[in-house]
Amino acid sequence: MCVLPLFIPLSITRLLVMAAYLAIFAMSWDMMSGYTGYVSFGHPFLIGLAAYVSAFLSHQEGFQPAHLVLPLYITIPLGIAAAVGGGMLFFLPSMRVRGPYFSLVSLAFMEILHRLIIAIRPEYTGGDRGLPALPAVVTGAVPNYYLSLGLMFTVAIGLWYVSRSNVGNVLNAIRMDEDVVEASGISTYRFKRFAFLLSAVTAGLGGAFYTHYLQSISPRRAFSATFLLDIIIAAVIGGMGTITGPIFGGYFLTFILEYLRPYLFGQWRLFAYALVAIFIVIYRPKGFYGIVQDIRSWFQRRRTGGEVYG
Amino acid sequence: MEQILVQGALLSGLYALIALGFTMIFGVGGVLNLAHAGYVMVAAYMYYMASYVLGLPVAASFVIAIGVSIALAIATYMGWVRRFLHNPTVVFVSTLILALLLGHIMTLAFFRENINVPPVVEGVTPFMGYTFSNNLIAGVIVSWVCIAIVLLFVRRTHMGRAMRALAMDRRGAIISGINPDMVNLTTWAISGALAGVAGIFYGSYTFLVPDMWVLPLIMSFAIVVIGGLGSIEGTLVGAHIVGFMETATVLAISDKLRSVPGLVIMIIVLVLRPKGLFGR
Repeated sequence: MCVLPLFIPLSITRLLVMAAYLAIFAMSWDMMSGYTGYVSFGHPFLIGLAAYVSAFLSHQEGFQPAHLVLPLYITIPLGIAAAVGGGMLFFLPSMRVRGPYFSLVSLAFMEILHRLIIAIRPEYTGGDRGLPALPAVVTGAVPNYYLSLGLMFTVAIGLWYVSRSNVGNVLNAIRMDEDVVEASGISTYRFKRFAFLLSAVTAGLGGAFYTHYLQSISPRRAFSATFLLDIIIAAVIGGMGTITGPIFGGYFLTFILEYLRPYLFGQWRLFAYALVAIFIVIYRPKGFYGIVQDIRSWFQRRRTGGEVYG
Repeated sequence: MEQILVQGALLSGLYALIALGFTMIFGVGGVLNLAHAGYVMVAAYMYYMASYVLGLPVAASFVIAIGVSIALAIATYMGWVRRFLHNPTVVFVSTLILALLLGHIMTLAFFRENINVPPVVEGVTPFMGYTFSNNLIAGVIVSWVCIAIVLLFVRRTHMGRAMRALAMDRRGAIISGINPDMVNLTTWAISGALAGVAGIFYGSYTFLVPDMWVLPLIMSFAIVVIGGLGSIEGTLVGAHIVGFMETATVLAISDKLRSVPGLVIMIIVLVLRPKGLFGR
């Protein structure tokens, strides 16, 4: 995987970069929603907050009034801190409510931030048009490939480690029956807060680096329902609550969308994609991770002569 | 000030109609149908097509728009939601994708550009020094007639009582001989009809664009959360709070912030009183 860019064309390298970032977002979503069952519709809020803070602080555009400009190694951590801080301040009160209420509030946060960025001080945020010509962390497709891959593996290993620990077990238990977990003397709020914190850190990390990879940011792209659904669908296709699943989901989604391009034009491609996504959510809610598990248990059954199940 | 009051009342009626169908489905079935606002959009497009592209009379266009929207609601319920009532997450995500899918279909059929729909009812009415479009007034009258019919239906008919019974205690309702599947289907059909009526007037209130479902969906959230998810009275109150706030914001501050005050109130209500003003 490390020497891959030597053998493939640049266009595919660029695709791999996009896939790695989508995988980071999907894992971040999975940490929060896949494990605890609190479906977050507000991930673009966290991602967009980090991206906007880092983007705003790191460059000075002609149309903006003069302000402090900081180097990237300061603005990106600040962006992540903003995602965590903003998430804690605004998102966390919504953890008090359960199920659909939580999803509705998280979507509301995304919409509020979207509106505020457009309407409040457009001379700083760029308003509807967003901010162009941001500085890049590294330039060129191949260095960006290594950067995105490194980020993705860092996030994956970190989240995987957490999910293997007792914390992961508690979070899984919360999804199955929160009242029982609460009744057994575990503070579900603390565990949810921890999962949320991790999710916000990874979303912020991905968001800040992603926006400097794209070198631009606009509210229309950052806070769209399409972007939100890409993240959720990548996680669901891969398999919710598995961490490794969303990585696969991110790559699969990016490449399937790209390779459908010659066969299905423009809107037809998005149409087919949404249709397939609905079928996967309905018929294979466990995603590809579930399919792999099914195949594995099928082989196990064959080896043992079909007598042992499960 | 007068303008805020009158225009707020008009917008609130339309919002109440959209949110009512949304909250009924949750009250009876326990799931949220995020495609609801998608039906509103499809109905708006269908009315436009029937009335202005095909040139059919208004009554026929109404029937087509509402019929398509009811058909969509029934198809969603019978297609898969029926089998996933125990798993709200699947319904949640799949209906959100469905709303997006409906947007894609509308793009394929009508392209992405904004379409201005001529008003259903022509003309303006001067009132207290301001003028208000007859279209919006007609929309509000129709909205309130529909709301009244639904309230009467829920309170007076056998099926309406079955709906309320199912919302209160599912198991008890089944034991007393209520077929939950039939009641759910009726609820979805009514909700689809409400979305259809709302779509006709909402389309001419704004303009047609394939992502026009996002704002009504988010405002419906705010309304039902403020009022209490599943409560009809709460929805009517919530719709007026949100409608007046939105009108005041648009007229006094900026059109770009139109959705913000409603959402802020929703968050305050959720933190202080998570079940909403009228929630059980």
